[in-house]
Amino acid sequence: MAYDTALTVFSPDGHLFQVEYAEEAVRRGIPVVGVRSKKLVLIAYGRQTTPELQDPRTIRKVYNIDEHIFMAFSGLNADARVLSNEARLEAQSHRLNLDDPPTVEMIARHVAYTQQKYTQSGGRRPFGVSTLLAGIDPNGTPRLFHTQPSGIYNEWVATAIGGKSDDIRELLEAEYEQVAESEPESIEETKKLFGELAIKALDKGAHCDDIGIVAVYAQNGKPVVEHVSKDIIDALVKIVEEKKREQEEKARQSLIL
Amino acid sequence: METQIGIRGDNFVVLLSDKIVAQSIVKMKHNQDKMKQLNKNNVMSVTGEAGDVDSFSEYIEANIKLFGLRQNRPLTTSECAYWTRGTLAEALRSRSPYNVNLLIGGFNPNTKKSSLYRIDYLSSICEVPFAAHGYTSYFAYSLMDKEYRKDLTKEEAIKLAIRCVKQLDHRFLVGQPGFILRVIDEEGIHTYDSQPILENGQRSFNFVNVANNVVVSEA
Repeated sequence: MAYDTALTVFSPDGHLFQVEYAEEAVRRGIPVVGVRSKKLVLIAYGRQTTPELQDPRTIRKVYNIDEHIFMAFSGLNADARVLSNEARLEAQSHRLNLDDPPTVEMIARHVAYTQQKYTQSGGRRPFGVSTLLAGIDPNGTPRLFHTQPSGIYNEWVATAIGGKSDDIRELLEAEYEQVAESEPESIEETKKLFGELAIKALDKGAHCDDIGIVAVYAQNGKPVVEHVSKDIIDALVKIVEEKKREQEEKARQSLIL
Repeated sequence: METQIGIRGDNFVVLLSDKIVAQSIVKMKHNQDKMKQLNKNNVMSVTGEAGDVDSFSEYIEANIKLFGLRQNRPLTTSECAYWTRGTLAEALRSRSPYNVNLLIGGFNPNTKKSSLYRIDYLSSICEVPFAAHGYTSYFAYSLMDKEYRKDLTKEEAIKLAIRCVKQLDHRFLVGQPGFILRVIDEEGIHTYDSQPILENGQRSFNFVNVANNVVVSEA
């Protein structure tokens, strides 16, 4: 019997193949990196190269969910749009019903819940999307969540989704602590420091010509979702490339010696 | 008995409302802000049945925010006004209509023009240069008819609103002790609070900008 046709049927060894195929769709997606510090969360993503005659502005990798939360994804673009809409609706209905902004975890849980729903009944197909939900809780704490097509969600300090995410996570595991220990006072400097780490991690996955960074932090008690300017990103990319070249040079020198 | 006034200039709108929440003949609260900031350049002021005012305006506020998020741009004043009217009209013909009167004013950063919409509880809508609701309108309209000009400046419009309030205090049986005034222009939304003063034995009001304490008076 083919265990990969009907969604709701388990294979004898306990797998739901359709869900695993959805996870494969994510693995083939463009990598996205999320990093959290004490003051902010930041997400770096690579943009696809667009055909020459296409308007690149119509391609969105990140969606704003509320004033204090945004979502980045890897996987099927169209599925992500449906999920982001679901999350936006939940955010506003939370505000309407409870007169309070939702926490990032509430939104992550809702997105994961929606993804899970699509794995358990007939006539549906799972979302081919993993999301990173980044934001500032109403009390000012930065949070970073990851959701999967199966409906699993976890909180992270730094993680990656999409292609080569294992390699990227390995780099983050090796370098995060050192960067986090030297977190500067100012938001501007923190943004640059963690932006550099995120770009370096992203570069480990795939070389991207066009990188976007979004950061969320609290300013005067109010959440700010900032699309980091191209100038700052270009400067950071230059630093990362410079350091990479230096390291390669050092490696070559030691080889000669 | 509630006061609600709106005056539109070329590139700004002035909205004014009282701060009283009343239950029968008793004042329950003296400092209620009856306006909702729908987004960074649109404000809605609401009066009517107390419960309806809260649930309706919160519903509108949440939906307009949601549309803004979905479209990745803030809604314009006319979009806010027409969606609100549609929702009110639908409710009117259901078993649970809302008894609310609204003024929606805002500034459009693309066209650099402002607009003011008057919507009543029967969900009629019109775009007008100046507007008022309720008993207040009998006093305010006569003054605004006389004094309104197309080329009114921001300061003149605020002063006109102050004159309306002064006239109310002078003639209207149910005087009100305080008001909130908002100016919506290119820079965003400016909030003013009223400050009663005595002028030759007659009460009048100054308005103080909440952000920088600048005082605007009638004179």
